[in-house]
Amino acid sequence: MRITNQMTNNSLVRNLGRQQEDLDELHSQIGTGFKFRKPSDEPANVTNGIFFKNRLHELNQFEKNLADGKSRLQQIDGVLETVTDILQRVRVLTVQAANGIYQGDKGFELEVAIGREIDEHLKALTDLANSRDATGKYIFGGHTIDRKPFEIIETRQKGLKGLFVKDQIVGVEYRGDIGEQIREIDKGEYLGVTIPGNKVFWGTNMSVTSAKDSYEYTATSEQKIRIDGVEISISAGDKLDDIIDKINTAPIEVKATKLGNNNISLTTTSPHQIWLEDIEGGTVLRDLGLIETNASEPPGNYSRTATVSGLSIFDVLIQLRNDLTAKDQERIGGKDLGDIDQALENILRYRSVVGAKVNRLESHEHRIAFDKTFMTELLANNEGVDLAEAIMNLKWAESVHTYALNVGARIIRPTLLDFLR
Amino acid sequence: MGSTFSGLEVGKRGLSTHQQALHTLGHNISNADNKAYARQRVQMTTADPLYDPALNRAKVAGQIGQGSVASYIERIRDGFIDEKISITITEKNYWSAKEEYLREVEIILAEPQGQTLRNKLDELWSAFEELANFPDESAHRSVVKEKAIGLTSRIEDTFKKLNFLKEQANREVEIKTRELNQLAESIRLLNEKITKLEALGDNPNDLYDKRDKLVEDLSALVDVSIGKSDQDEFMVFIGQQILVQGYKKNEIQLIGNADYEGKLDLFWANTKERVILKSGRIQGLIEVRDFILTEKIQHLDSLAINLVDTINSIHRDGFGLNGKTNVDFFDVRTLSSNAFGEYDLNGDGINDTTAIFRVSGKHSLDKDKPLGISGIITLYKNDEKLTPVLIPYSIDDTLGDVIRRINNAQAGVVASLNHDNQLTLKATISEAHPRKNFMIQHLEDSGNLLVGMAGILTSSGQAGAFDARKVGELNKFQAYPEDIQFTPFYHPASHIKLSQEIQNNVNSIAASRGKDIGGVQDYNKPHGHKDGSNALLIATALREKPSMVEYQETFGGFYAYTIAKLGTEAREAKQEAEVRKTLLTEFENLRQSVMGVSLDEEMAQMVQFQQAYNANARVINMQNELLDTIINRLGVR
Repeated sequence: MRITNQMTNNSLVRNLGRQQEDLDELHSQIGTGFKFRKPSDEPANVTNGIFFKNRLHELNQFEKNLADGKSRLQQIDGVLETVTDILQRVRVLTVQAANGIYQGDKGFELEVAIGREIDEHLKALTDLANSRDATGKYIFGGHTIDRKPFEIIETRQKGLKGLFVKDQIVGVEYRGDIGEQIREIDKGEYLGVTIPGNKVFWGTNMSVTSAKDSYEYTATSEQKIRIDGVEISISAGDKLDDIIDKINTAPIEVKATKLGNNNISLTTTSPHQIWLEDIEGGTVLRDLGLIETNASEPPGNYSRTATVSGLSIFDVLIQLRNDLTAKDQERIGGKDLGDIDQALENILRYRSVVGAKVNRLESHEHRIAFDKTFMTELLANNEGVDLAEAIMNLKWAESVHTYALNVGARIIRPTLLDFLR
Repeated sequence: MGSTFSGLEVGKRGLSTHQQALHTLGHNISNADNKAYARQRVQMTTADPLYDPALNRAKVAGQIGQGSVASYIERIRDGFIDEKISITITEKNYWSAKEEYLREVEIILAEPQGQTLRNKLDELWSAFEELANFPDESAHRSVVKEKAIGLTSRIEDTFKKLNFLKEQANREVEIKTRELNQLAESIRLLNEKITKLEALGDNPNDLYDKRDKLVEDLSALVDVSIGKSDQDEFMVFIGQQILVQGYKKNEIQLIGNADYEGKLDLFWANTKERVILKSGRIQGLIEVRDFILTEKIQHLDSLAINLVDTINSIHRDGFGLNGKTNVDFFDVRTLSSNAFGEYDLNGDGINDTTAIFRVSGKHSLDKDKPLGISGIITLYKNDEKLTPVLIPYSIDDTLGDVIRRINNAQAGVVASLNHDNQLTLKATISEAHPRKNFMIQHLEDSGNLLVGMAGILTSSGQAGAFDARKVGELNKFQAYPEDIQFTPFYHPASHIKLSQEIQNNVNSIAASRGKDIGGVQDYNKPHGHKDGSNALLIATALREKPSMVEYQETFGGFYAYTIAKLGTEAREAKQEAEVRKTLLTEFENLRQSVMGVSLDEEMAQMVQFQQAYNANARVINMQNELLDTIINRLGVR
């Protein structure tokens, strides 16, 4: 083929240009450490990279959520441990008081010594129940943090003999709600990291028994009720038995029964305070005589005609203290001791729940740490450049370039002119 | 015996011919580096010899040669290679236009190594997660506000840059069309000159070269072809339409299309018909402007409106730290300016459309329960013809099945379950015209699914159907007014902002849920301050809950889809342009091989011609001596 000067020059320029492009590409790779810089370099890898990076970001966030959840649960466990210690001590005192080993003059020890100690323990427990977390917010109030979860009610009454006459604690009211704080520990996986105070600090099983005869009752329309935060739908035409069935099949720790007078009774299957609500304009619980008609928010909304029984831990202690004042040894050794045992059991139950959650979080933590390492590796493989390989390629490209320059220079110079006279 | 002076003439002719040859050679060498130059060769032929057959011929041995003549100057050029090069240049420029603009889009979006939209979305998600952990802390609320502002600014900025790029493409169309017209005019002028010269019997080689160069320049802009049928009339075609015909040319003008934001289209000035282009830079620019960049901008718009709508709908149901509810997180500027969603689409002054983007039903539904009813849902695709799409459902289908069916049908409406498990129907990008983006065209159910079950339409059948082409259609919905989102004003990505309420008071950010007291069908009492469940719902909707952005399930999925599409488009353009570049170099080499000037060749020829010239001069000398002998020595005393 006929070759002209332009062709030779063009070839040389083009080849040099191509080599420069390769060199430039290698320089960029080594300089940035990335195999590609634009989606068009490797569309599939870039898309994968997006997914990996998304996952890494998530994992970091979930780790944070997890750490926060764990520290909260551990704090709760610490509080519960102290509560257990206190209750153990109270139990010992109760047994001693019931045994009658302190017979002393008019039962002085019963009233003064033990009674006073119980009082102190009561205050200690209330303080524990109002514990705050690292940011100063109450941990046992559920979602409510603008007031103390447990409010002491004091009245002036005849003081314990020998004690300074002052206000006596007659009750501790729960002012929080039943919300649970949740943390997202993985995509779509949620874990509750707090327990509302009216579950933990509850002593005995609770029951709410209506006084209303509901034999004739039929639900007039579709309505909803909420027990312990779980919604139950009542259909039009439901009778008392249907409603009892629905409550019993719902995932709540509350059992419904029909008593002799066709009145409904709700009992807890594990100690906690029952929360009853009529929502979205329904009136079922009101009609059944469980909630007051012009009721306020739970937990103060039980119907005045209903029989409510069940004691919080504080109620148990107050009851014990009052029995000590009345020197009712039988009650002390009987009902009171039994109630304290129930309370202890409840606390222990919650401690194991918390413990189980902490275990789950810890194993999850390990998994996330592993996932992070794995993702980082995938990402590095996907877009990181193998430095050794790239440097070798660079060296080779440089030599090729040098050769090309050398040879090119030789070819383009001589023409016939150099040799004509 | 021949003429006394005839030998002189032969010598002189020889000198003249070789002088011309050397002259042309000099011309060649002078143009050695002119890429558009085809080397020329003087064709020497013998002069007409003596004697022609006639009665008055001299009685000498004949025919006696009469020397050489430069009969014509040949131009060595292969027209076929020129054609191949033209076509390759056209295609190369078409793909280069796309490659250049797509690369700029890649730079704007900054994936994978820059600070991207994805980073901003991730950061907003993290901010909401942290808010869920600490809903009572002002600091975390401020972070949410800042991250949201960061995201909206980035979206607006990206929109501006993409739009600017689109306008740049439009401007370049204008500039290139002007160039096109100028080139056509130049070709026409050359045609005039060439025809005249050809008529006079000349070979206007350099003018041919010039004309070929002009045609080559033209081929970079549009797909041209040369008409070879008539020797006297040089025709340049664009496809089947005539651009230049001999002395005449057809002007191309640009007309702005008000329907499409003033984009310029090419029309023939005389017939007002559209110029049909298939390839070339102008066509590449038009496709970049009308398809590629428009699509990218629409993707951004969809991301923006889906983000705004998804977050707003969850946010409105939640409560801020200050107890406020029904607060919008983002401001939404709607297309319609009245409360019924009505809008004047065709611009004649009368409202003619009900523009709805999303509607959510009243009732919470279970995705996995068998429906127990059957029927057919009718949707209209948002294409030119409003093709009806039928989605049947039967007793054993679950809601999840129906949702999947609707989404797979790609019928212009996507379905999902929202944070309250209510059925949500959203519109998508229009296949017909950008002005019709994000409008639900038609909703009809022959059965009870959309009516009683989901609580969207008031009644079934055709009478109860919602159709966007009529006004007053809002009363076809039984859904609550706050669960209906009107179509946003054009280009939601250009006006996405945090609401004034949130900007002024971060305590209004609704992190908590609430309850419905008194049965007002709306949440009206907040949970306590430590409730971050609403923030968690927003976070989930941004991440893994299928919220449906166009036909992708999640925001992450949609984003990855747009980047993947951009990457493959850019890669294709780059590779196609590369292929044409290599092909072009090969063809140009081939062409140079034929028409290029080789200095060595010319040098050798120059020596040859020079020697011949010397020899011819010698011949004249010799003749001179002969004549001298005759004149001065023959018969002189």
